[in-house]
Amino acid sequence: MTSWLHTTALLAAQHSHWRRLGDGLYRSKSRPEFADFLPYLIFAAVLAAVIAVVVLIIKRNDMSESCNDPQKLFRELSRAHRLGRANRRLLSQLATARKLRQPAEVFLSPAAFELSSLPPQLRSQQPRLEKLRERLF
Amino acid sequence: MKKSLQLTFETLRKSRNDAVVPVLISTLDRTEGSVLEGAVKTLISRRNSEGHLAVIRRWHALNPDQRRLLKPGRGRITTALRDAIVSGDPQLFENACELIVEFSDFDLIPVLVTLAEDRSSPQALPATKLILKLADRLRKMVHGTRDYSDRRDPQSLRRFALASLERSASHYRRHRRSELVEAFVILASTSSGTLRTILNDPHHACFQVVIQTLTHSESAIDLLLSFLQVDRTPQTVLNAMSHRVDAAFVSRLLQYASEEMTPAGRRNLSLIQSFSCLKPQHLSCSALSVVDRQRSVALAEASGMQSDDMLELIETLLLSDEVPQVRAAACAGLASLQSDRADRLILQAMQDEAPEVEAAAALLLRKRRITGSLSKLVQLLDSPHEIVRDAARQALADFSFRTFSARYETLPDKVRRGTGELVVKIDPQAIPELVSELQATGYQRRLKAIAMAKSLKVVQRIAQTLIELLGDEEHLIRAAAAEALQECPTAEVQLALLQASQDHSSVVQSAAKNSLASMANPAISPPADPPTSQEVAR
Repeated sequence: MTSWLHTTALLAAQHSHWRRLGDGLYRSKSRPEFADFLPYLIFAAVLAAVIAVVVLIIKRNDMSESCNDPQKLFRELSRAHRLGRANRRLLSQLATARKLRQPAEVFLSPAAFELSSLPPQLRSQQPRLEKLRERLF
Repeated sequence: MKKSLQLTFETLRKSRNDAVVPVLISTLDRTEGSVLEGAVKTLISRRNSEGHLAVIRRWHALNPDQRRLLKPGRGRITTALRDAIVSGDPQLFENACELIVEFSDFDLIPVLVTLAEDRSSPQALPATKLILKLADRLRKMVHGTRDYSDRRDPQSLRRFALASLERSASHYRRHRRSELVEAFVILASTSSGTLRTILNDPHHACFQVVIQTLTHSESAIDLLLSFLQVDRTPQTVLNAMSHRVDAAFVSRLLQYASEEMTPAGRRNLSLIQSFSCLKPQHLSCSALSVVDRQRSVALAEASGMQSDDMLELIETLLLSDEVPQVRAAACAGLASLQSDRADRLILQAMQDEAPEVEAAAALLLRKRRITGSLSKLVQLLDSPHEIVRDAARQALADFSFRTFSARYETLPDKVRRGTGELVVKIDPQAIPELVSELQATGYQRRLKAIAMAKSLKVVQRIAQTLIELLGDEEHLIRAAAAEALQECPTAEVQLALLQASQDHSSVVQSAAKNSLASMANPAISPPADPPTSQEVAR
């Protein structure tokens, strides 16, 4: 009890020092800088990019939405016929080589698969194209 | 079509991507066979007028099977058809016109009317013809039996088309397209205010066109006949009817006149005093069918024709028509005409070689005060033709057994015998009714029937019934029957009379013996009348 009173008296005697009690604390941290927030910003940007990519992918594959997109139509038809990436690429190349206005037109053009008139760059793909023709028509 | 190709078209049909349409349109020009057909079908199934227009543009190049693929597009491709009509492209316009007819797309009538009114447009004339064609088709839908597979309501379609045609009729001075007014008249109903206004105003710009249509257009027949069945029909309409001589109208009118008519119909017909179609020059056999010529008399009777005109019509038919049924119908038409000329025509008809005509005349003869008509009818009772005998019997229906029976007591004996013979000839029910009387419960009726049998000279025909009466409980009946049976000298009757001569009643015995004696010696005349009540009492 006596020690407690002693301590209290000591503190009361140093009353004038209490006013500056927090000064040291402020002085110990400098002002926040851009670098402090950089990790957070990078994280947010990556997150936004991921979300945007996800939304884009979802939108790209959402065939129920009204649009006017020839590439999307090509994908829609490719998906309906369960065509793999390689076949899609081949069909797209064929459409380009045949100078079709839209890649999807290749799904309705049996003549585009005519082996005798195949462009030189696609002649090597002749067997695959023949199979695709069999599959689509 | 292969499944994979079907899958492609199914995907294209369902896709919400508008890029489908250019893909399919480019396919129309590049492919043929099943791919082309699939492309047409898919384009039509999608709600995109650009695609529809592309198909319409190629309509003339499609074969019948491919054209059939457009059928489901009825109603859906109307916008594209409208675009095609106003495009100014002659081939596209022609294709659209063909499709409008194919689909009976009446929704496009207002667009066509606008085009037809534009005299500077090279498509105005074909548009006008198309409007007339559509109006006639719509009229048939309105007046014909409703086809419920077509979900469109003909009355709504008519109202829709009429709105633009009425407007066009009011602009007639400007465009002078009589076909548009004709289309209006074809579709108009009797309640159309515009039509009635025109019909009641001879100075109206459209008056002449409307009258021309009513007088000559086959498509206006339904309207004319509708006017016949309503009140307050304009006189101009009745005049138009009276001037028409075309077989299509006359045939319908004659059919109407021969059926049960409404009071308004009867009234309207009675207001028409002459029909050009009933003039002798138009009644040639080739113009009207036999049935129609038969009906012409009914129309004349229903109309307000003067009796002289009617007699002229009947005379023409009666004396010049080759078909007996027509001459017979004409003769029947004389029933309502009372004049010397009518009587002469009846007598002329009596000389007709066809029994039908003779029969028709016979039916009229009795009601006329023509000298010798009764004896002529009596002669006809022996005609070799059943129809004539029947007609004579019908004309002499007064000479029935019932009448004879009712008046029997009042007739002198000589008249009884003379009339009795006629009654048997005329009334086929005379014998059955006499037998029924012979079997009646009241003995007075049986007694009278036995006396009537002698007057009718039918004792031999009812001998069996009389033999049965020899066993009657009333001795007076037995005696009368025994006495009557002397006119029938058969073995069976004689045997019956022999038995009757053993009857416990002396009156019956006497009558039976007298009859037997009379049979054995016909010179002995039997007592003329049945026993009197005094004899019975004795």
